Amino acid sequence: MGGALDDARAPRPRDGRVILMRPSPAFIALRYATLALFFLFLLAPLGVLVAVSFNPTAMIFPPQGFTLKWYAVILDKPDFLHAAWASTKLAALTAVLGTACGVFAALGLKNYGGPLKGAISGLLMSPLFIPAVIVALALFQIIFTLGIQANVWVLLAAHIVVTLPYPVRNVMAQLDGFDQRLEEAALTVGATPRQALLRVTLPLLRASIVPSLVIVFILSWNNYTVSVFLADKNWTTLPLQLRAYLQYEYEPFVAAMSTVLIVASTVLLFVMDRLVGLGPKRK
Amino acid sequence: MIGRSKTLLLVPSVSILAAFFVVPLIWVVGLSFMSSDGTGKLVTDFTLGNYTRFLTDAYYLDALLWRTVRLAAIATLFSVVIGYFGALAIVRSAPSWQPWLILLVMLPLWVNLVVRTLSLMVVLGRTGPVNQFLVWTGIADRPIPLLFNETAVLIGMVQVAVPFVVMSIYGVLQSIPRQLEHAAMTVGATPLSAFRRVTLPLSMPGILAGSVLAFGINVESFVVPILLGGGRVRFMSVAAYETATVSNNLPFAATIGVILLVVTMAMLALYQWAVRSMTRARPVLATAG
Repeated sequence: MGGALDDARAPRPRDGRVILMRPSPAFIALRYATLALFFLFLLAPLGVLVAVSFNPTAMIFPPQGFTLKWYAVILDKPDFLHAAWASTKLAALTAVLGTACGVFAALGLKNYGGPLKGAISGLLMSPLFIPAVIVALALFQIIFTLGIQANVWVLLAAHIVVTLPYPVRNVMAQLDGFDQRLEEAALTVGATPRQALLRVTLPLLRASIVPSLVIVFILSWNNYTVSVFLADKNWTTLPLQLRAYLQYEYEPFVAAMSTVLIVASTVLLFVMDRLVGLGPKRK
Repeated sequence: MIGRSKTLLLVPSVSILAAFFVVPLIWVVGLSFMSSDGTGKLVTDFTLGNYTRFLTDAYYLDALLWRTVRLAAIATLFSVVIGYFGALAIVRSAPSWQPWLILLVMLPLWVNLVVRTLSLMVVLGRTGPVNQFLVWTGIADRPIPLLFNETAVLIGMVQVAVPFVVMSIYGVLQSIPRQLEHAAMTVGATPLSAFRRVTLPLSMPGILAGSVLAFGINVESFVVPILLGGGRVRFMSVAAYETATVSNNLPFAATIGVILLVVTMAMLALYQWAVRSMTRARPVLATAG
């Protein structure tokens, strides 16, 4: 009986003025129930989908048997493997180029001040506030009107545009709490500005660059809205392929494919948390 | 010298945004004032025809715009209520649990939206667990259609928005000292009224931020109405997509996009106004939040 939910009982070392008040057992039970219901709502559907992927017959829960055959089927679907590879390449390119743009921009903005800084950072953050569907629609219209074929460069640029605010914001936030003297110290002991940037500033910014890379990768990898407007046949990404498949077929293969994606996302999330700590600070 | 290189650092991001964001947006606004002849060719004369057509046709106004805004608003309301309970339950759990619980909240955000929507299709389907439960308990005597209607789309939108709401509210709740509520209880408030009079008002900034985030995500929903609405629940973003790619009526697609943009901007403005008037009305909140 760990009593994980009744922190009011646990003395908090940080301030001695906590008034210890013992919550009634009914109250504690209510908290556990809320927590359980909340996570049931949030995560149970994914659990159901994972369970269905082991069902030999149809997309039905609970499964009427156990099979791994749908996982083997994945390897027989060149369309899906091609789409997964396309998604991975696109997301990796978006992550590297987008984060690089974001880091440069944040460094560039560091010495600006006043309304100019406000205007430029406002521009850099604005894709967050404009629905992505409108950005994609706009780009689609331009290439259609100009008679350009949909191609991977426009797709890549669009992915960078809608994800750019994340690296900019992460790196700018870290630069705000950054000890300017470190770079100045490097300069006074004879480093060139370039050396100071490469040897001092960038390594120190790793704590915001790594999460930016991962977040942009995930956002691009999962993106549907932008890709559906701008992807050509060679760059059908995995979300598009999944949706196209669902239009005609509905069998546990698609649950198996989804399970692979769920597991991959989960692993990435926990690895990322180990690396940089995504959640609140551990006490 | 350093000043110039600092400016050069801004060139990649600003130029990519200019070319692939600012110019296309201006283009789309301009295009919405043009028209298209029957064959899909562009007529570049200035016209308000697209807007008149949209705003006078009951189909576009009610079945499209109003439905999108209405469902997004209802979904936002549910997301905020569910997300608030979730955030509150997490913030009141043991400190050593909290990082793990927050990680679980973030998990769905990392999973592909098509996959998440598909999971709801299985759950809500004719033979899905929800229908099995309804039949088993006798609430319904045979499976009821839960998919491909507005309710399914609503459930999908709530599912998508809840993690964002929790993240917005959790941060604010965490910053509220527990002693405030305890103090209220020592002077005789019941736990419920202490929550209602102390914690709830102090967490307003998180609720507002979560609401605007949830509404922004819901109003541009694309995958959810396609998959869970099954083509029967038309949404602004889907209509813009179909008008552009299937009907090839680019000016009208642009008009739908611009109207969606205006709605989003109006909500953001409303949010800004709400935050400003709240901090003005209750100066205590501004310092406590």
